[in-house]
Amino acid sequence: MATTLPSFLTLPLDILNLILDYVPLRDQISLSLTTKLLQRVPRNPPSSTEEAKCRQRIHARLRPRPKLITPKPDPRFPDSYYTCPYCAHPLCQPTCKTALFLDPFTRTFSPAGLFPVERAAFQHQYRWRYMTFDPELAFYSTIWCEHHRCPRDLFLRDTKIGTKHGTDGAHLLYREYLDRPRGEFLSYWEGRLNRFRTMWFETGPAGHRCNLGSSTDPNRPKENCAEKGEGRNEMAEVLKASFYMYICLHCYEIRHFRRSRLPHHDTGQRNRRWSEPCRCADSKRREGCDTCGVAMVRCTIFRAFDTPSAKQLGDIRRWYGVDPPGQWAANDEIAVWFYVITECELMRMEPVWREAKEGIRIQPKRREEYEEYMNIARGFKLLNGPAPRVTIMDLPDAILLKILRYVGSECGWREAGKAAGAAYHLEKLWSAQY
Amino acid sequence: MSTIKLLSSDNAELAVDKEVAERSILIKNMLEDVGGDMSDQAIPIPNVNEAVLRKVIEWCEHHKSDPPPPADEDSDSRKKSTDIEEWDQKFMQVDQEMLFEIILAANYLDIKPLLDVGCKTVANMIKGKSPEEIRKTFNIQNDFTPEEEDQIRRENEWAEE
Repeated sequence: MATTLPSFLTLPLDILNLILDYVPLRDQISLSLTTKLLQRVPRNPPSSTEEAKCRQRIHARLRPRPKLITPKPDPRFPDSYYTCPYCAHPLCQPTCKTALFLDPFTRTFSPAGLFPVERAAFQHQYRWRYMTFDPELAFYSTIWCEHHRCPRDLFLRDTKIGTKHGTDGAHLLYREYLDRPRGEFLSYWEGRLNRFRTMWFETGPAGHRCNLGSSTDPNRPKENCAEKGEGRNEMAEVLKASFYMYICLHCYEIRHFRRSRLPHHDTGQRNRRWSEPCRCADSKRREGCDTCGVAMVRCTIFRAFDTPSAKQLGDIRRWYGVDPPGQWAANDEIAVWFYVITECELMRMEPVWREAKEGIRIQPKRREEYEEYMNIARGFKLLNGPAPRVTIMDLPDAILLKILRYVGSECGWREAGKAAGAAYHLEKLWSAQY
Repeated sequence: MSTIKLLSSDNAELAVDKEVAERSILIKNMLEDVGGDMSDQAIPIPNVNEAVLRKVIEWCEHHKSDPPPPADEDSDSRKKSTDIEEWDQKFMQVDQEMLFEIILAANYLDIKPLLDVGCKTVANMIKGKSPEEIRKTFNIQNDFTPEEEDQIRRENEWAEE
């Protein structure tokens, strides 16, 4: 029986060419991988070696089948190449569908689409190259996915988890945090983190926590979480905070955008002003690669590990031999906070919302995927409690501005401007004044 | 204001203002060729059925006072921007079959701005999607064999070396 072609594939070639005029190269490549009939899209061969390389990168991103840098398998886990340096659990391959790669420099978990999987290299296997910042490799220090996530009570355990590296996982994680190079980028992120914590962080309940358990390994010790979820009616409230940045899909460097130039186009180059050029920028191309593309990302801050109590802190200081003794106390909060980046896009709101709210809002590109990544990162599923009847974001714009002005008159305009950065709508509102 | 009649492929006669119909360069040229007098005779539009023709007329009516499109068709701004006016976005919220028929009708009737809106709408349906998502959107079947997929991957690995 003859099969009928979908309507799209029956369009005349000249119409298809007209459509392709509006489709960026990376999406043309995506289209070419859908069916043999569209295999010859894009129509023009690459104009330069550089463009050919960009095309290859796009291919790699769309079809993540990396050339793995194959290490010797760990004899304890013959089916797995690596074990997690922090909890000794076998790690999945970078091709795992739900893999989140932890960038040791920024403490950021990135999914495959926002991480150069084809250049992925396990930091602890390539320590000498990692130390010299080899640009050919993209280092990750662990992979969290549906199959593995370090225990939330890593810092609370009363027994050390032995790893092949001969050190305690929590200690290693903490030491890496303290030892890692602190660049301007990292300072910026931590500045954002502190701002959220001090100004707005308490305002965004994401839902309630229900433990999933952190490991699929039945032999692992049970978690020692403060709130266990099972059999308890009371569940801890989980807060959320996020901010938005751009990532250049050529060099995978993340940049924030200037407040006065909030994004209007998720893929186009217009109206975007980056805080600083990315690594692959040159004099003509300052805001990400035109060919590989630029993605807008939501950076969500989350508490990856349970924070020890005051008593446990004392034990931990003695146990880990942290010196000076107060060091943990100063860093304990930040040490357990990590980030997840997920791709976002600009969505036009329905006209009925437009009158009251921002007409264009930033939304996760694939909401279900975003939720899944957040569940993996948090180590538990969120149960949505009853929605609050009214939140601060429901206040009329004039009142929100009034509040920000009060903040400004009390704490200074700079602080008010920072506070406005807590939400896209507030930021737009604040920047519209100037 | 004078009215003319259009005859769709399924023999439906639709009366439309001449000014509105002249958004179509095909009809405009046709009227000029016959000296502008077609009041008693319907102009046959053999490639467009009634439903699609009504939609096209609706668009032309809404845009009857728009300025003519820029002469430089290949200008970068026209090619790159996929911004669509709010009214047009709503207008294009139709099922895919109708969307493609509107595009074909706009192409046949030579209504460039409508053709552009249609193409931009389809482009926006493609943008930012993975091959699998595009397949779902347009109901395309994956006809690559694993060997062919490997072949594509190999072809695209040379740039790395």
